[in-house]
Amino acid sequence: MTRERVKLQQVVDGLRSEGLMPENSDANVAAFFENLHETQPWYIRTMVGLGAWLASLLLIGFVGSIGFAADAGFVIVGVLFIGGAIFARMKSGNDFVVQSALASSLAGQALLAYGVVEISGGNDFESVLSIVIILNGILFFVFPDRTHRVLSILIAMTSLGFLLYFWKYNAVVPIMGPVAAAMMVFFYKRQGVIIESGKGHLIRPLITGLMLTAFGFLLLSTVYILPELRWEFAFYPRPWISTILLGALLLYMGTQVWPQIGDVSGSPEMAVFYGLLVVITAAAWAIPGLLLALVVIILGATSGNRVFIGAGITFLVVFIATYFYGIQVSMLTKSISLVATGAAVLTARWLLLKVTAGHIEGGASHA
Amino acid sequence: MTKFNTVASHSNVQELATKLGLSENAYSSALQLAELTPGRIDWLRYINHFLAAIGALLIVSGVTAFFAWNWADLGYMVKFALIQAGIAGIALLAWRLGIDSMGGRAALFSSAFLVGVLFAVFGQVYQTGADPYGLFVAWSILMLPLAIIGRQAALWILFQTLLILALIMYWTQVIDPPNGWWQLAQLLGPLVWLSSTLMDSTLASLVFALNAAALIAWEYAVNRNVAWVLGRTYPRVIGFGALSNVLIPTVVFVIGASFGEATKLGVISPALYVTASVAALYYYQFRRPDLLMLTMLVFGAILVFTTLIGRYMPMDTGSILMLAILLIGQVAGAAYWLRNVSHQWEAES
Repeated sequence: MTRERVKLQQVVDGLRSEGLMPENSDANVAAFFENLHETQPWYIRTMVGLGAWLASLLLIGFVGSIGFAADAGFVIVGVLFIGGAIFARMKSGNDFVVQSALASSLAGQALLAYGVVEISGGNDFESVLSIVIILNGILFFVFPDRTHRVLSILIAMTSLGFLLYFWKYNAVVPIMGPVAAAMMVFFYKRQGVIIESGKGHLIRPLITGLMLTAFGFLLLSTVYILPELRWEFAFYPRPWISTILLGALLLYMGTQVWPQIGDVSGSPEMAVFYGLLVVITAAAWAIPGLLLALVVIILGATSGNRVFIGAGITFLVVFIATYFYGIQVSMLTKSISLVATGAAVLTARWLLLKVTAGHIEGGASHA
Repeated sequence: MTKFNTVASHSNVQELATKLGLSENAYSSALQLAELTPGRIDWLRYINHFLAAIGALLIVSGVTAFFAWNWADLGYMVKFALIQAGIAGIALLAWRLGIDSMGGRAALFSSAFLVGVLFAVFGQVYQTGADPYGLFVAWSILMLPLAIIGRQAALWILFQTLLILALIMYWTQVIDPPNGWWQLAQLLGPLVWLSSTLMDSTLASLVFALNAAALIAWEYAVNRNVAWVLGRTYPRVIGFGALSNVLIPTVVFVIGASFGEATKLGVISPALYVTASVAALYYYQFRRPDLLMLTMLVFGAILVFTTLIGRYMPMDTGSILMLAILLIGQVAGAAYWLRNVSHQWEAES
């Protein structure tokens, strides 16, 4: 039997009856519902977005074809594009303006970076990446658009990744994914505080950007370099570092879940629960992406966030597919790792449902 | 659905909290009122479903990796036995789960897919020398009963894809084998090669006819109120395919003509594009309201019109700016028109 899902209006009514609504909030509630109704379907937004991107390419072509007497011209036009985009986005929420502003900002960043490269003689890679990181750090707060904020985090973190490779700090790369994931969990758990402080508009792009960053770094762990290329370059040295760090994060997520399903702390059931998480971590020694997927799925499940649950499942499938084709280990090793982890997960499910069955009426039927 | 019936989700509750500046306590209550914070039973349900699915996925992947590891060393009888056991096992699973359940539908689709894998292995083992189009013809014939029994869009989309692949293969292997840059496209992978087949107006028109016929047949069944065809996935996917079959050759025809290149593109593609677009715009605006179809058609028209204008404009800096402004105007106008059409439908319903 499917449970009837709660309507948003019922949530508002519930908050009102509990006296949790701010004073004089009726107009804001009405405006909120009106905007919900006015949102265009995704395919019209996609069409508008594609149109805006094509138009921005033509604009870049126009600027490029004009040419400038000095390379600083590209920097100036880039800054103008970014400034104009911020201004337009602040003034209007119209779909086309939103997408045009997004495209103009990215085009402006490309022109700005190109100008800097040209001025520096085309060899100051570090400066360009540093400028991009700082610029996107600022744009995250300044540019009033959710998609742009997500892209700002992704662009900044990708640039940081390039810088790490450029400085030959490859050893740090396996830490980046788990750090991004830990930050994602931290901010996710503090959503209420951030919303109360009036910065609620930053929270969703922030955690989405961090989640995608973590996904991106973990996918690097599956990069496979053909031996014939004889390229001695470690994209992702010692992936087990990621496994250990993400395993710790999974244990932390366990502390959020156990009080919901288990008995008092210190019980033998709790020891079994944490023991199982350790076993899953050990089984996934060569598959750190699996642990990240589990963390994201559990995080989504803690607050009914279907986007996070879906993203975690999608990443799991993508990671397994890339793991299947990538990583410099034999198919037999991959097979053993995958079957062992799968068996550990199924055993965990069986044991968890068994040990928690005693606490819940009818729970035994789950196992 | 009215705005007041909007179901509470994590994202819209979060947005509501942000707009109203709710306190931490109120936000937490809002999530609970929306029943988004799971209780014990919910957690056990998650554990039951998610861990079972993830565990099964990992083990199936591991078993697949195991066969990939020693596939070359397996005897052909073992290979056939494995695939045929897979087809039979999955079909059995579909029957046990019920072919209308989510699991049953997925199992039936997997079974139809494995039929093709069986044919591919058969061709690999016996080196029959048959043309590859035969594989797709045989596959489509053998999966047809499954599509009829299954009554699901995904199976019919697979069937349609196989028919198209068979037609393209037959055309490029028997009727008009590729030469020149077509052969290069073949080297760049199947997707690039398949896209390059649209650069022949005759072949593209035949593929379009196949898609258009399937679309018309489906919409006819919808009009006859056949219950299982009422979902919009199939007509939208096939409609997108049919539009691409005439839109892409038309755009390339317009661009290519300005360079005076000898291509296999002819006026048949633009003629079919205009006829089909006008008919579809009428049908999906007045007979079977479908905003997604209208959006695809309008965006196609914008692409063709902009390309056409770009071709006749002088090649200078001002023209690039003019094109950008023209594109912005068209897209804004299209979005405005689509919104009005949508509001009109709402008012009439």
